[in-house]
Amino acid sequence: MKAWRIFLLSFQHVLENRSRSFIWVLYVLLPAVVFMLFWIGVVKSSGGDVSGWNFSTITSYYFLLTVLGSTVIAHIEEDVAEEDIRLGELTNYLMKPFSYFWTKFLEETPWRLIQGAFGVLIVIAFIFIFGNFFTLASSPLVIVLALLIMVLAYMLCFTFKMSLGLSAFWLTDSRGLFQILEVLLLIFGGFVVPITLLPEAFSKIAQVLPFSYIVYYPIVAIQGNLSITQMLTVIFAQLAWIFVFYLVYKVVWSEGRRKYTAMGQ
Amino acid sequence: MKKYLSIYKTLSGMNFSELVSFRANLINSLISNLVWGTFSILLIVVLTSKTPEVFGWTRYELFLLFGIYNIYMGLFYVFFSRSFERFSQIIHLGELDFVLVKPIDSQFLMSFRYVNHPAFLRVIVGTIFSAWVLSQMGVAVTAQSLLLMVLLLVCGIAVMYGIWYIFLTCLIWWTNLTNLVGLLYEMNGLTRYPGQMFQGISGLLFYSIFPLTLVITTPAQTLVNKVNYLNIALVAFFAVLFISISRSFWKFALKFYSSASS
Amino acid sequence: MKVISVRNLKKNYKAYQKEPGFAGSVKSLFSRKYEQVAAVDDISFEIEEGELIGFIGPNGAGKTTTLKCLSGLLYPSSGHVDVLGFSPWKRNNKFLKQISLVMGQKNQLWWDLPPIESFLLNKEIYEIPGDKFKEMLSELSELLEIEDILRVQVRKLSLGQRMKCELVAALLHSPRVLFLDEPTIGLDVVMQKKLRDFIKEYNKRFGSTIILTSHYMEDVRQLCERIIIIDHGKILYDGKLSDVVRRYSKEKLIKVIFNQKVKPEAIEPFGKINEFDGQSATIVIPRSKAPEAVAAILKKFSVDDINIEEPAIEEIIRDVFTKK
Repeated sequence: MKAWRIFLLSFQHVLENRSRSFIWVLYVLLPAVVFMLFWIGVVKSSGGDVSGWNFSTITSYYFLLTVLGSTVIAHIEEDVAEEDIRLGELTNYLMKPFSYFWTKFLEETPWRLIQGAFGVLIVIAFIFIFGNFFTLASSPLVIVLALLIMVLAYMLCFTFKMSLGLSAFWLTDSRGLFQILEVLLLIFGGFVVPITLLPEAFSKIAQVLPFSYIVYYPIVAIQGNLSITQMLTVIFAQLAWIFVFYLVYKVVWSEGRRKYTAMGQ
Repeated sequence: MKKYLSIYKTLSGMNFSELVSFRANLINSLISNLVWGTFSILLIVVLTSKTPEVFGWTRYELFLLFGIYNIYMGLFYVFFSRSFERFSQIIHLGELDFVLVKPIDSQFLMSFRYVNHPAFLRVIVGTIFSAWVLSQMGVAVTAQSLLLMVLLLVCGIAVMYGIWYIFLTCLIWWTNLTNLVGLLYEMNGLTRYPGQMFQGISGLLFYSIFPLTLVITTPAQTLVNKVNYLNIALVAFFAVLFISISRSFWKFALKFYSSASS
Repeated sequence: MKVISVRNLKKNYKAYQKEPGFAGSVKSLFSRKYEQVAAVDDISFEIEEGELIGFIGPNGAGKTTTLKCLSGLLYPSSGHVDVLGFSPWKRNNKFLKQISLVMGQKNQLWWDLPPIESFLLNKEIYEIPGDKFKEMLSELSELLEIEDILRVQVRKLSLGQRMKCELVAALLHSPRVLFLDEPTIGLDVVMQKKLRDFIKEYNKRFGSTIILTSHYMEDVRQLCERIIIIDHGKILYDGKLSDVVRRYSKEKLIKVIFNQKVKPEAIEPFGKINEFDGQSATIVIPRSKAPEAVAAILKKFSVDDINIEEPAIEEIIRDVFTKK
């Protein structure tokens, strides 16, 4: 099966670049640990509780952030903008009878899985070193739903980033745009602090943006801190956002593709 | 030496010409720097919105740490970021050949070849923010503390430079670690937090990053007139130490450079 | 005077073996096989000032590695290298100021700026005095005809123009030894000739020692009196190009263009037919028999044109490799 072949080839590529993958994970781990240390200090000086977060939940939040940050966040937008559109690699994809979207999906996923695996290993190591203060969901239904939320989070992030990458059809340099969106993802996705700990105004903005559904809600779901109803609401919201971004992608793709081929690349 | 100063002047001029020859690139660089400079400030505001005090530092003192961090990082970015970001590419693609064949110190060229002028924006943002914080704290800056600040600035950046260069030299052996730079930026990020923060979890962790914990906290202490001469001396010591190690290590590593085949 | 002296130079590399496919990748996670490859395997030679020498060999023969050992880029595994009285790998600034390295298709010129800016940077780096710089720049620009593109951004130049500018950048400081690694690669025929003519002229005018590696025989044929043939890290031949031809080539080629169509059978008795095209043919004949073969052909056929040629040097050298 051709899809399997693409996946396997990409997986091989990832294995060969395993030290790079490891560094990517450290890259996510380091700031997560730093923020965690910060909040542990805050929790201690606030007598054990800050807006509903305690030592155990805040620590596990940041460790899960490492796993999720490595697994769910696709970095595909730069690849699409720089390699495919700007350097013309897109032509190779256009000539194949597969959907560009799904081909990139099969290329990206092995990276996420390997880095997720590294992330899980590191977290397990930390649990052994620092003892059993982890909060995790226990009921099987909750775990299943939480995993579903994680998968949808990845789909959402991927679709969003693919659309973002296509901006290169019109912008000569997309860096500025990518970085603005990265900062938004960091703040409103829950990379710096859990959404509920943001200042009032920010917290409200976070509710209407899709970013919290990529990082914050999956983490909280795995921690077992969401009720079944809440989880279903999250899933519904994720599906809605995926739908929105997929539509955006479709429109941008057909417009941009026409422009790309018209330029004779 | 005068030769190196004139070479640097030429390099800076060439980098600037390149910068302004592409409008889209220039705009994006300015946006980039503004975005990250602002984020850096927002970060501490967001982190401390529920805390009046942590690790013995008040909210405004923490603000000051971040403001000074922006000044340091801005300057680090101006002088080194682009050269360091291209470090792995230069080695991987064999461009190091052209560096080594020139009658000038290779570490100098690898470090200073590219200049990032737009990053001055961050220095400006950091300075304005720090000045505002100091005024909110009602602190008067003395000439003495400013002088110490300049010394600490040079030494602090030297510490970061030395550590970076040592790590980057490892790329001669592991040429495919192109994302090492991202990790190093995160390492720099450690400097904006009070050292005590790292003590809590593990003493080993604290001591392994001890030099970094001094780089930003020492000037912050100096500006609010809590001058700690021991720390100042330590920063200067680490500056000299790390730069010396980086030079020896680089010279050693070059023996192993295999350069891309033709 | 001797400018370059190499004795028993060896340079080894570790080459990792990896089996293909997915299973191979997983296996390489646990154990990696590697072997020592001798890129340069005990070579010795000497070069006098002002010589223009060609290093020939197939890809991977060790030519570029040798060049890099001579220019100080690589640290020899063993052996002795002396260039201009220095050990190249020590990278003494005094040494580096007297040499220059140009690599085909690799530029050191700044991409988004006009070449003149990169030239001015080299002026600072090599500490070239102002008037000497102006003099060299004007002479070289004239020789290479780049006066009008001095202020055009490098990325807007054609490959040929870029190579010319690279050469200028490399020669502004009047190096005593110039290393050229595949300088004409990727260029069109006209540009190749221009560069060759320039290199020849430069060598004549300035007397600098030039070492050239190439796998284009034409480069070597036009420029080098002396060649060194390298394969698998070993020197197969070191001497005059004309001697290689005479020593190794046992045959000559006779190229005939006939007045009218002839049958191949009619030509066969004279020698082995290499090419045949109804009205023209190339015949391979043992060296000593060539003159009488020509006479016989002229007697038998009505001929428009007839030429005696050496077989392509590539063929000769290929024979040298296979014979070893």
